[in-house]
Amino acid sequence: MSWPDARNLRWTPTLRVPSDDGTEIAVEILGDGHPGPTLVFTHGWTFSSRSWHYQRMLAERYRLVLMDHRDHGESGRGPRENRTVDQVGRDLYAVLQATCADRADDGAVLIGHSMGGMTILALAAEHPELFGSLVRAVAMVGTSAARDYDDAFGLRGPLAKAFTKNWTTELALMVSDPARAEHRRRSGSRVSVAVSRFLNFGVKPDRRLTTFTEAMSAATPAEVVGDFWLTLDAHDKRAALATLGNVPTLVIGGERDRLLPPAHSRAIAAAVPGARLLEVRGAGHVPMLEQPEVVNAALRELVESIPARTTSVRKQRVRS
Amino acid sequence: MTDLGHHEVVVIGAGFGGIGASVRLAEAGIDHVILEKADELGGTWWANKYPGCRCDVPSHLYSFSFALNPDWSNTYSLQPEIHRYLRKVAEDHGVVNRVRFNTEVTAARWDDAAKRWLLDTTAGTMSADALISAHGFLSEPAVPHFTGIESFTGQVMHSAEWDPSYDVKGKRVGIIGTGASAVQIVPRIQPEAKQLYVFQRTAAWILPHRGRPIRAWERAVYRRVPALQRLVRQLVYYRNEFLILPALLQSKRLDIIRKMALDHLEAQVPDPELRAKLTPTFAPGCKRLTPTNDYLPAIAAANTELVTDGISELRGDEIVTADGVARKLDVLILATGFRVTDNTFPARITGRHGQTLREVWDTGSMGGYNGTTFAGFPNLFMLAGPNTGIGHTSLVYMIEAQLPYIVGALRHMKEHGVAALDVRPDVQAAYNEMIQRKLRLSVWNTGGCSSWYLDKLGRNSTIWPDYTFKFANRLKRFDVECYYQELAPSVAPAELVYG
Repeated sequence: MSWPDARNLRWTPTLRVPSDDGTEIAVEILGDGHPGPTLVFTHGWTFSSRSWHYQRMLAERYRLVLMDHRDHGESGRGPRENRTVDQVGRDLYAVLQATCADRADDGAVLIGHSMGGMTILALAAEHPELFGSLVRAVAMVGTSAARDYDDAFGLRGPLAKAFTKNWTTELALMVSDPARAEHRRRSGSRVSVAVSRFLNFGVKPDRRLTTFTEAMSAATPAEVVGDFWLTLDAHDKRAALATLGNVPTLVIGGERDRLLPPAHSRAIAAAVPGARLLEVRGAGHVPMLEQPEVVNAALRELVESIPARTTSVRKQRVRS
Repeated sequence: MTDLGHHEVVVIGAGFGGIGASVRLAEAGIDHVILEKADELGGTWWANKYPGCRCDVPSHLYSFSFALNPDWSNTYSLQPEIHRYLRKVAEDHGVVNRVRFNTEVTAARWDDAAKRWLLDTTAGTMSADALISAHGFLSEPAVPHFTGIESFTGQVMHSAEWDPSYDVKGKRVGIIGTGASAVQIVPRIQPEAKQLYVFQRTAAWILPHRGRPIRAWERAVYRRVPALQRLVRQLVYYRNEFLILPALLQSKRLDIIRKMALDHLEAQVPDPELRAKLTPTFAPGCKRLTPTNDYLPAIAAANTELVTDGISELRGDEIVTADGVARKLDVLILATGFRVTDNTFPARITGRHGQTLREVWDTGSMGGYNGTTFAGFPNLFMLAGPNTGIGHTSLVYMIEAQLPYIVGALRHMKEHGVAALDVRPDVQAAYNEMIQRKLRLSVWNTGGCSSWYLDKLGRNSTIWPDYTFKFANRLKRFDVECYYQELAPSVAPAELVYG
């Protein structure tokens, strides 16, 4: 599969799903003819559905739904106060209703990266009844159930202090003075790519991947980045983890993830009954881009592990 | 049934594998017990007691690296000495106290709710966090079926179930098979027997045997300077790796082996007609190469008849061949080897999908990951598992290579609160593809013979197709990224304890 293209991030949605507050969520549907569960992908903070570049090939076998979060990618702008994890959870609910509810027998597999994983937890908190009915399986990639740690991106000493300070002031500026923050970002610059590479990638990423990832983040307005950061910083959805225990759950964590170190994945795997954890060696925060063959094989395995529905459900469907 | 309690690890079998595992587990401080079906340890080196039983790998190499034996009396040791060696290693390392004898595992079932193995044994039930199966693939005698064998009036003995009290003196003896066991048995019973019939389906490649007694002064030197024995061991090891293995893998340069064997045959068997019968029709190495200096003379002896016609039935005290000739026998020895690719022990192991390992293998070929782990069978480790066999060096080396990997996995589980490790199916599939690709040109696959290396699909699921040090390197580090982990709920990382 070819490399993702940093200069070509725009795409044409198959569908625009209005969320409960009217904001339009851009959705792409691939492999529409396939029977079986739909794989619903929800991306991370500052990214877009294009971050699932290498998962698109799964459309050869499965029906895929890729969504852009509100204020990200091709989705519409929502009110500033609605830039919360709880709201993107409701957006996901709307997307599920619009794309999968009419094929409830086949169900859906939710796959979330970083903030996308938190989105799934937000959905689980508000709609636990979906897990085990419409939602058949969950994959949590490089994500966290609660940001209650004091971490320094794998740095130590004064460097850690300096980086953390710079990080918090930049993000604070994005909230208070987005225009100035946007100017200071110097998107596409070497420094910006280097920082993106440092934060997102593990061992020896290809340049095409780092420039792509930086471009994806740069396309997300500073104001959006800042606002969502506030909600992520306060995020705690640990109570919703038990709900994931109702379906097969796969947790994927990059061994070298600086943004959400493997301990976050381990904690999710330990708290979700029956969850399976896969630690991807050498990968950072974006294993689905860094080692797509590993992630895709694990996703295929997850889908195949979904327990078969009782025949009575199928029969009912045939009768109706 | 008696409840025999819970252990962190249960090791099945007290042969080379089980004893080695126990030593390494004890070093790592891992609680374990060994279950042994026999009343003595030694595994294949206890079960096989037929006359002349001897290892065809040099003794310096066919021993544990951590327990070199300066006292080997011969460069190729006989079974009683190997058994004594194993017994000594087990005693020196306190392994004996951890063996439960006369305890055969009849069933092992993975309990996915409790994340542990439940075992039924002939002595009672027990459970374990992890299972190390060192059951061995040369443990189940392969017994061919012949019409009339039930009503055969003579004695029937498999080489691995030898009755030491049986005396062949003055008896009419038939022996089926020309493999590694047969070439050792035949020369020992030929002088005693009144008449010996050797039933040969395919002739074997017989190489000159280089074994010699190790002199007392050599042993004294080895005792004083262990480094010297280590050096000799290394020399033997690398000679086999670089001289024999490449020939077998590429099916090239086999002419040297062929010439050596044919010269040996010509020197030992003067009769050209008999020699023709004893000349193999397949490439040397395709079946296990068998070194011996006294098999061919025993075949050429006056009281021996080499029968190449197929056996059609047993009738009373007679064995009848396809050409209709009946020969009277007092005893029939089955030197017919072992059930390797169709070993039934895996049928006793049931994984998380309710299928036995045998059932999984029967849908295709026997296979695993790193010859050690199996997708769908969490926390199961097999010693000398699929594609860890070799035709040129010591299996003990392969077993020892697996031990750090297994101990690494068990350590990882303890340190990180992992309740279950299950190898990724995609990793296992890719691994087996790699193995089969490397074996494509090998003599085992292309040599034109049927052997116990190949399974019913013609796939080679027994041989490691590369240098054995590459296998050891592969297994030095436990590659947790190739496994799905299931964490024990109680042990989330301290800094992130949830709830």
